[in-house]
Amino acid sequence: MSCSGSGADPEAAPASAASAPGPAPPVSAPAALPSSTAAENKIPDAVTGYYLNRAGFEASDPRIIRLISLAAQKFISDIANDALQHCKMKGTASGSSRSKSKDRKYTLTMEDLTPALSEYGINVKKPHYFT
Amino acid sequence: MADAAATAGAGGSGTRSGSKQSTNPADNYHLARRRTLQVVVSSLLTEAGFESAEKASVETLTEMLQSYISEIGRSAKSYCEHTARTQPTLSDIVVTLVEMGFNVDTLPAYAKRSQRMVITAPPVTNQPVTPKALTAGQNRPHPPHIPSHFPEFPDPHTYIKTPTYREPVSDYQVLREKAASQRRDVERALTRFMAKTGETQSLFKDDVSTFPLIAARPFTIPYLTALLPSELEMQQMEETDSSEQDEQTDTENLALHISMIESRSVTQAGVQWQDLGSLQPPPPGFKRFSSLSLLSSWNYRRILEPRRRTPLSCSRTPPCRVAGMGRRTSSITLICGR
Repeated sequence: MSCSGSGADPEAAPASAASAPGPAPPVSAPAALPSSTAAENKIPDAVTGYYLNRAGFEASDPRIIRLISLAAQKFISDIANDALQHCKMKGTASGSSRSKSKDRKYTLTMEDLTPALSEYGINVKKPHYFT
Repeated sequence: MADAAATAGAGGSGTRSGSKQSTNPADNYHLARRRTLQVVVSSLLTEAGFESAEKASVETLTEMLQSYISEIGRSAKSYCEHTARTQPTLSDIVVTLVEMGFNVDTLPAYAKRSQRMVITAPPVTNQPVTPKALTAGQNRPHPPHIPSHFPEFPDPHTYIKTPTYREPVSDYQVLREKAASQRRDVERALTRFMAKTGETQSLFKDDVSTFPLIAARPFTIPYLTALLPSELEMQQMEETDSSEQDEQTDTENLALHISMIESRSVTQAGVQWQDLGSLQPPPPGFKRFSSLSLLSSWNYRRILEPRRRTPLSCSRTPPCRVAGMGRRTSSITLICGR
């Protein structure tokens, strides 16, 4: 884990590559910044900005907001892919010669989501019944 | 990360939890944002290859997405303030993401992924505009100390009191005319009423009903009104009479007040006058006031119980008084009404 040296410059321009004379910063986020436009992100800027404001984060540059929303999307999609892998594993474990009907209809269930999340350190426990 | 090869179907992107529409606008905004996140999660799941999802799973992922964004914001702010700054920069976010275990290198590749679903923005609804027919009056503009994002002032008719009556006309000429016309109408109505109910004389010989005139009944003694005292004097004398009460041995003591009446009660008085034959002879000293027997305009205004009090009489018998009689003896008593 390497962190870029965040100097005292308050500009929003990507200056992390040239700030610290220490280890080479492997940050490639600046490359992602200009490419992401508002139309590509699924989460609207207003929604992300609202939740960031609630946490105390006031963004000066809208590109930062888009970066954060992109990161959040990727986070969720990673989990979704892991859950899909779990689902496929359960499907193919029982029998390889299964018709294509199962492959077409994947349903995300809590049984698939729980192990996927546990790999990330998130433990979800839903009660089986309501007391 | 490699996406699933299966193309996402159009439908079945995930169940959406139906949240109850609350009336609080703040709650509505919160729900709207939450729903947006849910749509995003559903589209991400569809991209990943799922056809449908459990409601609990979608809720879980939505909650996680919201928490993730909030945590990024909080953490970035902390890093920013840790270095004695107030404005977060890109570096703060990168540090945050790294600290949260996010592989920042993969971001550009993800941004350029091929299978992307673009969510169309929801249509912007126009603000409900009250039609011109419903607005009544002009709202007061905001004074300068009130910010513009505050709601507008209510309609002026809700707090301005307006009288619902019309101002009465105070023009002198109009008022005089109105008073004169009212008086004429009243007189006309009264004369018509009396003509209908009383005796009439007609102006024309053959046509009785066209112009009925009230029958003229001259008084038998025209100068009586000049002799008798007015009502006011009678009342005053009554009061002084009642202060000196005395027992009387007369069996029948009745009192009566004389007042001018309309011609209608002439017959009444006449009938009652005839029954006075059974009267006892008046007490000695009582000087007969002969003119009173012929009087045809009496009105019994007060009936007093016999032997209870002295008859309050009409002390309007100035001739008797002048003659030197006592007040009681000069009282005129008549049997009164049945």
